[in-house]
Amino acid sequence: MRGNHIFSAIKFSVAMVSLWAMTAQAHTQQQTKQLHVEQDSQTISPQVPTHTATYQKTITKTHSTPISLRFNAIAQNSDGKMSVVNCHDHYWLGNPKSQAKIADLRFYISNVHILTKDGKKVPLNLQENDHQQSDVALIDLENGEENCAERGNGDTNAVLQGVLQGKYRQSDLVGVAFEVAVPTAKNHSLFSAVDTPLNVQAMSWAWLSGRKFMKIEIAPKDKVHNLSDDTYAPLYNVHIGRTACTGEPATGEIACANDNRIAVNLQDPNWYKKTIVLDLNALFAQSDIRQNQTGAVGCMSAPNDTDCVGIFDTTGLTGNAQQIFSLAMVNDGVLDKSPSPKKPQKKHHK
Amino acid sequence: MAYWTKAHRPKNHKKSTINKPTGQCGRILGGRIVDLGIGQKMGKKTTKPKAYTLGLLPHSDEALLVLVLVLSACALFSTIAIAKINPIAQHWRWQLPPTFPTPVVPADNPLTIAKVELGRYLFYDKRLSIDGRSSCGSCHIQALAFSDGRANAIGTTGESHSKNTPSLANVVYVPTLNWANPAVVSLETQLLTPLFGEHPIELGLTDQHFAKIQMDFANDDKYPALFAKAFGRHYQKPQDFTIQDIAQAIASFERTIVSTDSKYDQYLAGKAILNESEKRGMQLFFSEKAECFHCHGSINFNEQLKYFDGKKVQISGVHFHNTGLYNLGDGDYPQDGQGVFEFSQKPMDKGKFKAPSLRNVALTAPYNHDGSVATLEQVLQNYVQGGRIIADGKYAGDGRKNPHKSDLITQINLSPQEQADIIAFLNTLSDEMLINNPNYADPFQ
Repeated sequence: MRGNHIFSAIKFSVAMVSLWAMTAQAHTQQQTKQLHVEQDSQTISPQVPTHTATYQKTITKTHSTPISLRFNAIAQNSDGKMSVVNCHDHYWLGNPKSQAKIADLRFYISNVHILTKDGKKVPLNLQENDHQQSDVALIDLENGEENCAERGNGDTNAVLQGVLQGKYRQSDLVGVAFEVAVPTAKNHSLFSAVDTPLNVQAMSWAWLSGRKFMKIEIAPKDKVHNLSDDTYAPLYNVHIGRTACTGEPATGEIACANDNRIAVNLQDPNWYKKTIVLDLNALFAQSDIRQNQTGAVGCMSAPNDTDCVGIFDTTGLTGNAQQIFSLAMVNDGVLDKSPSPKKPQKKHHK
Repeated sequence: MAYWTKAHRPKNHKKSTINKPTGQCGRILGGRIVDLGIGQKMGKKTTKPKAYTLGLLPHSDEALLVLVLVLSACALFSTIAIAKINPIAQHWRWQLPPTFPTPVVPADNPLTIAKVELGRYLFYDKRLSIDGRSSCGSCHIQALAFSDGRANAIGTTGESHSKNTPSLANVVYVPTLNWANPAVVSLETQLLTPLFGEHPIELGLTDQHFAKIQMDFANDDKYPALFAKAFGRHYQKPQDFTIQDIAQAIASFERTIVSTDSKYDQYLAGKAILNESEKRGMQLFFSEKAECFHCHGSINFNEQLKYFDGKKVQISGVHFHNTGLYNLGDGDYPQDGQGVFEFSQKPMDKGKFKAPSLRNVALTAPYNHDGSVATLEQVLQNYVQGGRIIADGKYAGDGRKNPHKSDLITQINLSPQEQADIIAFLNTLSDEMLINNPNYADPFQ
């Protein structure tokens, strides 16, 4: 495996979604590594339970269930495999498919809920850390190296950490719902004046006094032909955020007609064993990334940008269901398409 | 716009006494030392609007109290020679004719002389661009009333902007920034777009490049002291030089760029005489016949105005208009120049732009949002016709028939002499003080 993978933390991981209470049941060597890596990267990591019973005793006391959700971004690599993306390799993206490298890949997550068997949505309170406030997290899947050096930064964060209030068994929980968005009350703060993770300049969207909810930028091998003026641009950009905004000059309050929050609802009986996968091929499924028809290069959410039509469809912003996020198994950096999750090779006992 | 709240104040930012409105030894009181707050805060904790605070008023008891305090402070400082950082900020003193209302300054970023001076350095500092070739001042040139003389601005990497560079004169009075952007209502926010914007690239900064700039600033001869004086805390490490500080300082400098001494202003003050043509032009300008004043009738010769009326902040004329400059079918303007429509996607907003200030208009050619009209005479001709007619080319169309055109734009029956008179009057709005004032000049030259 190359040393230049975007997320070193992900190299080892089988599961993106791990419900701590249940990890003991499938305690493979790989998962041990995953936890170790997370401690290294200073994310909050509860003690690894040695077996389920001990852990459940703990949660009876606290009446809360820590949950972490792991994100991966995948795209079709040069071997044709759907693989976890990095800042080095080319991927086949768009329609028609053409080769491109990743230049930036970050998005905000908010309004996170865990779905229960009896149809309830239980809010997941995010733990405050370098990438999270209680109601918003920044997922950063680029490491600022190689092709991401210009647009990205060295920070990375693939795991969302939260706590569910109350006692839950694995079998009670059936999925996760969230939005790719910043809470409206926080969206229009000046990035330079607020706390992490809202203080990232690259995610601010000054011309709309707001933030980019999602910033995905790719560098097509032969650049992007801007049809309106017959020039070539290096990057095809996807910036999603609130648009049609109006400011109140006396108070500075901003109101926007288009919220553009990407709503995601993922259910799977084995969801906790899987990762939340952002499929870049699904994102660009309707976009010819070799050319730009109108406006900003790519889609910067302008309501009249024809390049946004396909992006708004795949992200579900036109009212349909989003098609870019799913729950899936990722093994050795490659999407595992087998229908059932891989069985643990061996249980580890003391 | 979001300003600091207690909850959100950056950890490295210490509250400073420097922001408190006090005078300085030797030069205090008298004149208009006014600190106006308009700080509406974001977030739950701060939904209560902050009260507008008047700082020092010359004849108040408060002023007397402060006088005593400041004199005591003077005595203290003369005996104990300490204070690496002068904790007493000298507030900016507006020097405005009585015809001009009091400008509004955000409570979170009070104007001080030190901050304005720092802002002037930053405004002209070419290190604040990705290739070190441009600064704010590259497109906002003092000799051209802080416009650039081009039809379209050119970014530091050569990328062409779709808009004409607007003048910064009297920007402190402007409630919405840019040509047609209802979403940007503070200078502190606006200036982030030219600094960091990606479409188009203006100064082209990135996060990674900004870290290099911070290193540069920390090693600079002047900046650690200038920042310290402006914000009342020590600046040593690169990360001390925050975007927040840079934005506040540049915005502060921009607020002080006022144009109040044109021949017209001198005439109002009884210090100059308008000739007969200029007088006739003035009368026409403010008449129902020429109708100019409907959109350019404020003290700033525009429509949108923000000021303090003595009791509260007044915002007037936040409107945008289609003046029939284009009609590409369906009322369309060219791509990247559709005005408010680009934000709202409502057809009625096609081609709607702000009425710009006409102060110094003789210095800010070419004209209109995209610089597509070369001379003032041609601009006036478009209004006389009730819109622009473009006979051929890719933008051919009869702007007079644009379905979204403002009802204020109709044919005006003006003789050539009357048109010449209006132009003569517009020429009286140029301000020699503005373009020659050393306080606005590039400190690196």
